[in-house]
Amino acid sequence: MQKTKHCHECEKNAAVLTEVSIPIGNEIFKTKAYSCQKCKAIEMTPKIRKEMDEWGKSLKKDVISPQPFFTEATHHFLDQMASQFGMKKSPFIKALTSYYLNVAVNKPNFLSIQEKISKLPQTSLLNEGTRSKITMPINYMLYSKIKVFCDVWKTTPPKVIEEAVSYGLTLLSVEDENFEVLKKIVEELRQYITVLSQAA
Amino acid sequence: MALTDEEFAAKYFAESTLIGKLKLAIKEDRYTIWERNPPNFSSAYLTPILSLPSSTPVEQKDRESGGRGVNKVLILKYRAMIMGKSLEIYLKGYFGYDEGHETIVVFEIQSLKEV
Repeated sequence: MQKTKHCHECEKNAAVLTEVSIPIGNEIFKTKAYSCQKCKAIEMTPKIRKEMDEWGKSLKKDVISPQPFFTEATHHFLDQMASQFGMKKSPFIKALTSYYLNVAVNKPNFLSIQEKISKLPQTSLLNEGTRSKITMPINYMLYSKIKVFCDVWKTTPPKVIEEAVSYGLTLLSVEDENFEVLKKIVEELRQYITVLSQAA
Repeated sequence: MALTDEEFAAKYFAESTLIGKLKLAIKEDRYTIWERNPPNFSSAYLTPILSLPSSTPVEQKDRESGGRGVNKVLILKYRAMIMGKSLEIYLKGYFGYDEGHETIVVFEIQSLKEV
């Protein structure tokens, strides 16, 4: 008889070791794990998490392709700033998103900085007018960050990218001498993108 | 380098506080969580525990469910900044044994949710 394990999700002794398919964006991660026959929950052990991470990092394909919408002014400014950093538009958007999710949100005063940025005239200038979409292929690592942000803030991947781009572009449009508080953050963002552009 | 089961168990017993034992499990990536498919868990919810003060209270109760392991369940409520949002999180679980032995090898998460 097949060995069963207690499932902490439904509290039934109904989990069996089996092949499981876990969707990660548009891709499927397959492994052997205890899966509950009643509620279908999966036991995510340290070994399986590690296996999944290694699989994700080794993927040659992107796992999602969200389609954020940007105004004409944003598209134009994105092109301009990307070329200033010697990057193409898509990697530049990814760099802004990565900065937002790995650095900006971890600042203790993130919300007050965000509020300050949203009140700058540049933010409204970048967000006025008709919008057109762009397809953004996202790899596993960035997808993992986007997913946590979406879970926490109850939002969607395209919205996260739109938010990150608006945040980053507004910062890059700030004249240092006029906005003392944001000076260091602008410099930090510039350095972050420079490092990413060199790595690319 | 990752600790062996025996080394982990030894460190677990050496920790004098419950919060210290929980921190050890998270730091050493020795926790198991049951998730619906597709999973929606991220370690981002647990890593803030590592910076909680060592005086953080952890409630301990007799365990009524689960598999083989310590017969006490641990409950921790903590506030954490995750992705720029302040969340209050509830964590419940117990330390489980390895298969066939009574060596403490993992923290079995029974519940992890936003309060």
